[in-house]
Amino acid sequence: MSDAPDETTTWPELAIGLYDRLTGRNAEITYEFEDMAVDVPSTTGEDPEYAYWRIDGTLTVKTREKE
Amino acid sequence: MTTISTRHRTEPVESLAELLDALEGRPSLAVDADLTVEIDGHALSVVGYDDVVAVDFPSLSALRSLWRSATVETMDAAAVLSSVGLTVELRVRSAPVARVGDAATPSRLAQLLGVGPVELVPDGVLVALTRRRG
Repeated sequence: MSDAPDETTTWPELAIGLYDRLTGRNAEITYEFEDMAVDVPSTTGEDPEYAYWRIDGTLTVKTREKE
Repeated sequence: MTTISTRHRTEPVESLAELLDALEGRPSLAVDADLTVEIDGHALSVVGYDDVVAVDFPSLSALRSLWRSATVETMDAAAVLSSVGLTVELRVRSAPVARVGDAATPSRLAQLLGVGPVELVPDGVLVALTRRRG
């Protein structure tokens, strides 16, 4: 896929990468989770601890003008 | 077909300071969310209302437990939230107990307690302590 995200190795890089795609498209991003289960690492370094997450529902993020 | 226009940076963003620099001058974010989330056995609800994201915990002990295990420092979270114009409101069984981010006014009590730049809502804490599970 031509618009596949580049590999990220840090949380800040992941965050700004998502922001880039959102504002670059000047649109909104909607995530629909259907009972998704994921082990979330505490760090991106070696030997992280993991928290077990389950997520269900909808999340929409878009840009708005600063007040 | 969607055309994608993505800004490219020459260097990866690896630190909080670099992230805040990268967010400088960008538009604020608006969040619309209706989520149920379970983290290590604690069930939460997350509802987004434009510039406020409310996270509802089942108990104060669940909030404390997840707060302690958070992988992001409160100071860092507050800085990033402020930079994108978002406020997170922490609730316990619907009672607001604390706010972090853009619209939060950090409480002196929170600083004394060492919980970082957090606006505590004393009335909400009292309600959370006294309200029985419905």
